[in-house]
Amino acid sequence: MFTQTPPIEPIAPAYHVRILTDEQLEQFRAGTFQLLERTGIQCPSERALDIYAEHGADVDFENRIVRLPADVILDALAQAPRHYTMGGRSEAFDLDLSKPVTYEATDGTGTKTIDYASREMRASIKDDVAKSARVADYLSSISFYWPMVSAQDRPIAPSLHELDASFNNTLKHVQTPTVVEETTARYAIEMARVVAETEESLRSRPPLSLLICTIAPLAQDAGAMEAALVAAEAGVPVGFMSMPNTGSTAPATIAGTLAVGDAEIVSALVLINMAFPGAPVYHSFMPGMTHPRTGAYLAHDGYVYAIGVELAHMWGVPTLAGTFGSDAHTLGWEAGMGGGLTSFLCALCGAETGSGMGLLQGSTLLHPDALVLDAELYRRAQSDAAGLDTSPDHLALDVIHAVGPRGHYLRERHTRDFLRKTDFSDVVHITDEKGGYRDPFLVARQKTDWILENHHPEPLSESQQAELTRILEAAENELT
Amino acid sequence: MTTADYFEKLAQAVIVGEPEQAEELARTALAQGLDALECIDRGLTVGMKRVGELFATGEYFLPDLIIGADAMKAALAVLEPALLDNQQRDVLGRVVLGTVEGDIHDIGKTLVGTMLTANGFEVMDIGFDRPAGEFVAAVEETNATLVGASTLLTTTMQQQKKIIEELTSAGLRDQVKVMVGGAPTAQAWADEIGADGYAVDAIGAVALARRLVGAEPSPGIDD
Repeated sequence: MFTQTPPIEPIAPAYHVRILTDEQLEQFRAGTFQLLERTGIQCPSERALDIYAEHGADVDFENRIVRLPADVILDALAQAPRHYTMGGRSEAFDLDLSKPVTYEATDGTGTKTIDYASREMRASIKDDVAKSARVADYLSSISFYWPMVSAQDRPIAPSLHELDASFNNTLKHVQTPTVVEETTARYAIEMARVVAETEESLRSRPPLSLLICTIAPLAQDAGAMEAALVAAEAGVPVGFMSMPNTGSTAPATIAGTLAVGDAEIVSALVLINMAFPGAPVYHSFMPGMTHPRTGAYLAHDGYVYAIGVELAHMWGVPTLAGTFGSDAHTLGWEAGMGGGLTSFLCALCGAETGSGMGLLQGSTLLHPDALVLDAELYRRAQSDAAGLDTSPDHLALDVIHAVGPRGHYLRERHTRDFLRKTDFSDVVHITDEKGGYRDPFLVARQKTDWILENHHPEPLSESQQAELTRILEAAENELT
Repeated sequence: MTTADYFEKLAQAVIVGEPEQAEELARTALAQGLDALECIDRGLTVGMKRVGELFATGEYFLPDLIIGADAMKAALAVLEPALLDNQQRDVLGRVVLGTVEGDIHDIGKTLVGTMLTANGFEVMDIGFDRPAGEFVAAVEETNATLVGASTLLTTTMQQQKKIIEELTSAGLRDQVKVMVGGAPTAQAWADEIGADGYAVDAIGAVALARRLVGAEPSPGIDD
């Protein structure tokens, strides 16, 4: 027996904000043109270098530096689709990027887990991916799933085991940041094809997308770029995330960090659309800040990630925004800082997708209850962005008239009906027996435990499960 | 309709919160010769108990309780005058309730009154901005066993103490238990002024009132 997966509820902003002026956007566009034409990007992939050269780039094969004239950049990006669909297992869970909404994903890919049962910290395993996928499957705030931790108990092809655990435990679209070399990518695409069931569906509603990190400053990884080319050839969306670190791998200014990161991303987007015109790609800017004493990677304030959204749209592609994620070492005040606010701001800037829910310690630690708690921050962002219904029923002038001065509304049917429609949290403001409120951390823990005990998403068919297992075994044999 | 049908429909009118329907059913039941006390005990009380259970399980909100209580009150207004001389509706206690002098906030107090009514108490709500003497006079008039005094202001808290002092002066303090509530109050304040109890909200007030009159614990209210 399986249980129904609740429908996804993306943030649907009723109003929008702009952070950069048109003049500032033009400065960044000109900056990226200048950096990619004058400074260039290092690209260690022979295949990628050939593609760049064939499409008008100035390629220094000896030093593996690619320089891209502005017209070459624009020609390639003109091929990239502005919108497309990222598929769920069924159409109800598709992410239609043409809609004016923001779909949010979990964070990934951590290496440590606070065990769901013992609550002791340990290295992450495949079963953690399965469990967190089930929790994410239940939560309406999560529209798509990143494998949240690494399957470290599967040392051969861990990223494919992460996909196996994901596809088997959620109906939602899966996006992986850990498929970063060509052979693994081929097996990942094969797995996606099994879930999609048909080649046509794999292209029109791909159930998998890849996220590839560039290397700051101004470099690409050979294996990762070749994995990206494999995905693009199959019609699987591929995004490029730059993570320049302000003060270490980027200048110690936000604008300089943006300039470095945007140039990295654009160079990769260009490559993919040179090789496969019209391939679905996305832009993802997730910089960090260097701690001035320890050198550690810290998250920036929310507006920096929201500017990434505006840069993506300037280039005519969708974005994956950095909307949650915390440096906090444990649940608490620090872990709640910024997550909902950044999500809110990115949604108001028109982000199509965002990720980062549910991990602590700079996206390295899976805490069992963090996803449920982040979903509460998401709810707030969603509500704040939703605007206001001023229809007559909501203005309620007749009810106000009926109650009159010094009355109250508690006995009005209007009150009863609308209170019932109100989406109250099931984590905060839960009353206790003493008339106070329960500790939300304890409520979140109970909710997480309840989900794991009671929510079992519809499984893949037996033949699909068997096929995924066969692909995994083949991959392990090849990669051993 | 059988007698049992009337009781069931009266209960249902309370559960779904239909005061007009409850009142009409009460009239029809009496016209059909049904016993008023049985209509109360086997109809309205059963319905109100179910409303309390639905509230306790989280299915019902405060307006459901209040509208349910309104339905019960509407039917009671028809049924109580029809009680025979030797019949009396069971009530857990008689409560004088008001907001103290100088304070015009009354929604919390009104909510407590509704909840107490819905849970078997007979409530005399004397309103807001009421001097201590009016609380005392109401106790004398109704022979109440409970007093509930509400205040929302730090500037009017002292009036709760004054009510207790005047009840004592009038020789009524041993007759009544005094409950206090409102945003600036707390158990420590209740202890300081010699009140018999404090509740943080309307649900707590019902539990407190039940405890003060020695009622059996009620699921959803006292747990």
